[in-house]
Amino acid sequence: MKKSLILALFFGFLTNTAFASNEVWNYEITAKKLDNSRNNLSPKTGSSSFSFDQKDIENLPQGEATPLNQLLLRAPSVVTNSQNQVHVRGDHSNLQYRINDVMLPEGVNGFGQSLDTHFAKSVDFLTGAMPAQYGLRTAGVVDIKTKSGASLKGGRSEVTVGGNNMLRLNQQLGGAKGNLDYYVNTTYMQNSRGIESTTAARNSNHNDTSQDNVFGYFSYIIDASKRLSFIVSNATNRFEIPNNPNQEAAYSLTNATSDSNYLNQKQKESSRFAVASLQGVSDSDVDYQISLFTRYSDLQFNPDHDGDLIFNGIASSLDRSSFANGIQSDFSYELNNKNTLRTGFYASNDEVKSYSENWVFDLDDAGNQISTDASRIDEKGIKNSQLYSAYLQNEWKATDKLTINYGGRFDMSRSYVNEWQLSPRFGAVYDLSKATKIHAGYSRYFTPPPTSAISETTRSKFANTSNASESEKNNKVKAERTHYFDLGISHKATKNLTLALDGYYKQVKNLLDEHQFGNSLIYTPFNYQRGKAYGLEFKADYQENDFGAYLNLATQRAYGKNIVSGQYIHDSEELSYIADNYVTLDHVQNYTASIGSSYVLQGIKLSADALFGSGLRTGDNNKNTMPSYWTINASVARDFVIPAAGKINMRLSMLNLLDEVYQYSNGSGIGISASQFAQRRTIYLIASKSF
Amino acid sequence: MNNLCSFLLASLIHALLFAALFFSFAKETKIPSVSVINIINYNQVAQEKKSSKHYDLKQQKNQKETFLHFHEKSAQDLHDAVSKKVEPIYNPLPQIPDDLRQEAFESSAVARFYIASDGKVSKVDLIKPCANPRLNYLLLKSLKNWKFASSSIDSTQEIRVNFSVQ
Repeated sequence: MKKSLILALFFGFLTNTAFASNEVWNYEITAKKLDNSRNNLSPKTGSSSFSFDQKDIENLPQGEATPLNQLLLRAPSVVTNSQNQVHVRGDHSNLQYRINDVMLPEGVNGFGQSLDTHFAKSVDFLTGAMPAQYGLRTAGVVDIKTKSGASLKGGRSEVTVGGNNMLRLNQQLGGAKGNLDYYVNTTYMQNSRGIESTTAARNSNHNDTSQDNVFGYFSYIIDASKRLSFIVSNATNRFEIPNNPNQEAAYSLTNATSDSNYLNQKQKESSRFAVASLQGVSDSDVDYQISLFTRYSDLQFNPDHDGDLIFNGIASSLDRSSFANGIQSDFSYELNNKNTLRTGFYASNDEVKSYSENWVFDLDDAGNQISTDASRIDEKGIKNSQLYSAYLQNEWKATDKLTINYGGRFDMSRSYVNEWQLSPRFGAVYDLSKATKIHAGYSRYFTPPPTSAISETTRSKFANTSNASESEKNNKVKAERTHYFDLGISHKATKNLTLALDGYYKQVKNLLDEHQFGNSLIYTPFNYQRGKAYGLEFKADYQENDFGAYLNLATQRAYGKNIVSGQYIHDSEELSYIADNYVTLDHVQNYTASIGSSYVLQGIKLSADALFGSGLRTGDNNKNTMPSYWTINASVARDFVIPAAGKINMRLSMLNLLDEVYQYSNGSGIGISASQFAQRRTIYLIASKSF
Repeated sequence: MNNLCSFLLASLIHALLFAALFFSFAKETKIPSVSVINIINYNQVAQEKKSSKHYDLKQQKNQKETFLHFHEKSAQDLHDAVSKKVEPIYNPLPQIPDDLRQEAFESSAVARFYIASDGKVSKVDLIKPCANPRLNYLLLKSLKNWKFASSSIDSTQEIRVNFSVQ
C-alpha cells in the first residue's frame, strides 16, 4: 500500500511537472565588423577618430612590439620629438590616456613608456572638437582597450634581439576560470640606445637603458548585469644620459678634471597604477562605470657631479614624485530612440613632492667664477592639487542622417592657481549620402598645467651663481583656455577605400608649452599669453582581404606670443622678442606624412611604412627649421613549424632602412639644450609563439 | 608616506600577478561551458500537486486503480512531451550596437527559458552571462519577448547565443 502510494506520487509528479529539455539550442548573432577604416568619424563623439585594431598593430613593422609613441606616429598630425615625446596638432603634450574608458592620472613625465602596446587589443586615437565627456587633456585621447583572457586564450611569448644590443622579452598569459577573466603582460627590454644620441654615430655613447613593464587585467562577472575589473601596472625605466663629446670646460673645480665623453648621468623613472572599476546596467537601464584609481610615479636624476659642474656650472640631483588618487564615474541612459544622455564626474588629488640638491659656483657681478669650490643649494617642495570635473551631454539623432552631440562640462583646478571653467561643446555629423559624412564641431577646452611638472624654485637663491637665470621672474603657470573649431568630411570612395579631410583652428589663451630648463631633464611648463594653431589633414585607407594600405598627410602651424609665466627659463632677449611677436612653437613641424602597407603573400606577411617630417623649429626664436627627413621601415614575417617547438612566427624588422641620418634638434631654439640625432638603421629579429 | 603607499601598491600588484600565474598554471579542469541542468524539484512539485485533480489523496477509493491509471497516463504524457518539443514561434535576437562589437567578438551566453504551457515565457535567466553587462541586458530584453508553441506541460529550455563579429 505504502509502496504503491510512493510510486503513484512519483509518476504523478512526472505527469504534471515542468519538462526540462536536455537539448541546448544554439543561436548566433552575427554583426559585421565595424566599418572602421583606420580613419573615421564617430557619430558617438562627433570627432575624428583614428583606429588601430589588432590587425593594424600586427601589420606595423615591429608588430605588437611597436612602442606606443611610435604607433601614434602613424596617425595624422602627430609629430615625434626627442626623448620619446609626441605632439598632436600643435600641442606640446596635453594627451589623455584612457584604459578601458578610465582616464589615467598624469604622472611625472620622463623618457620612458609606461604603457606597452603588447597589452592593447585596440587603440583609438581621438582628436578634434570632442564632446563633453572628454576634458582636461584634449589635444588627443589615446583610448586603449586591453586584451582579456577570453581574447588571448592561453599565452604568447615573444623575444626580440638585434641592433643596439637589443634584447626584449615579452610574455602574455590569459584565460578564464568560471566568472574570472585574467590577462597578464610582462616585458623586459634592454638596449644601448635609450634616447636620442647627441652624435650621428651609429653607436650611441653612454645610452644604455633597461625597462620593465608589468600589466594585469582581471575581470570578474558578478552577475549578468555587473562586472568588476582591476587593472594594475608597474613600469620601471632606467636610462643613461648620452654624452656630448668634445665639450669645452666652462668652469674650474678644485682638484677635478672631466672629459665630456665619459660623464655618467642617469635617470630612473617608475610608474605604478591601479584601477578598480564596477561596470553594469541598472534595472532602470542606466549604463554605469565607476572607477577608483591610484597612480604613483617618480623620477630620479643623478648627475655626474664633477662633469656637470665643469661643463654646465650646475650638478643637480633631482627626485620628484607624484601620488595621485581619484574617482571617475560615467553614466549613460537611452532616453528614447533619438536621445542618449551621458553624464559623469571626475575628482582627483595629486600630491607632488620634489627635492633637488644643486651644486653651483659663485660668480661675481660680471659673471666670472670667483671660487673653484662648489656650494650647495637645496630646494624642496610639496604640493597637493585637486581636479574636479562634471559633464552632461546628449547624443541626439535629429534625423536619420543627422546626429548632434551637445552638452557642457565644468572643470575646476585647485593648484598653484585656483581656476575653473564652464565649457560648452557641440558637434554634428551629417550623412550627405551613404558614402559621405561631414562633421563640424566646436569645443571650449580647459587644460590645467601638469602639476607634477611645475618646478617650485626660488630663483633668488641662485643669484650670482652659475645657475642664475637672466630673469628671476616666475609667475605662476595657469590653465590653458581654448576655443576649438573642427570641420571634416569622410568619403567611402569604393568598398575598400576611405578618404577623409579634416581641418581645425584653435584660438588659445594662456597657451601651455614646456621647456627644458638648464641641465635638468624635467620639462617645466609655462604660458604664452596668446596662441593659435591651425591645420589640415588628409587621410586615405585601403583594406582588401590580405592587403591594407594607408596614407596620412598633414600640415599644421602653431604660434605663441608673450610669455607670462615661468619667465626665468628663458633669456631676456627671447622674452623681449616674444612679448611683441608671435613665434612658432618648437615642437611643430609644418608638414608630416605617414604611409604604410602590408600584404600577405603565400603565408609571408610583408609590411612597410614611411614617416616624413619637415623638421622641428630651431634657432633664435624658432625662426629656422631643421632639415626634413624620411624614415622607411619594413618587415617580413612568416610562421615556421619547428618540430620541438611547434609553430613560431619569425619577423625580421628593419627600422630606418635607408639609414637616413637626421636630427630632431641641433641644440638651439626655445627649450632645446642638446643636439639630438634619430636612430640609425636598426634590424631586429622578433620571434613569437602563441600557445 | 609616499614610499609606504608605493610599497603597498607594488605589493598589491605583485600579489595579483602571482594569483594570475597561479590560476594559469593550476591544473586545468575542462568545465563544459554549458551545463544542462535537468533537476526536478520534487518538494516544490509536491506542493503544487496537492490540489491536482489527477491526484487527490483525500479521495482515494480505489488506490490500485488510481495507481494504474496514473501510471498509464504518466507514461503517455511523458512520451508525448518528449516526442513533441517546444518550438519557438517568435524568437527575436538583439542587434549588437556599434560600440560593443569589439567586445562582443567571440563571446557567448547561455540562457534558460521557463515556458508556460500556453507558450509564453514566464521567466528567462542568463545562467552563463557574457562578459559585457550591456550585451547581457540587450539579450535578456529580447529573450523576454520570445513566444513558443503551446504544449500540454510547462517546460524549460536552454539556448546558447554566440556573438559573432565578422
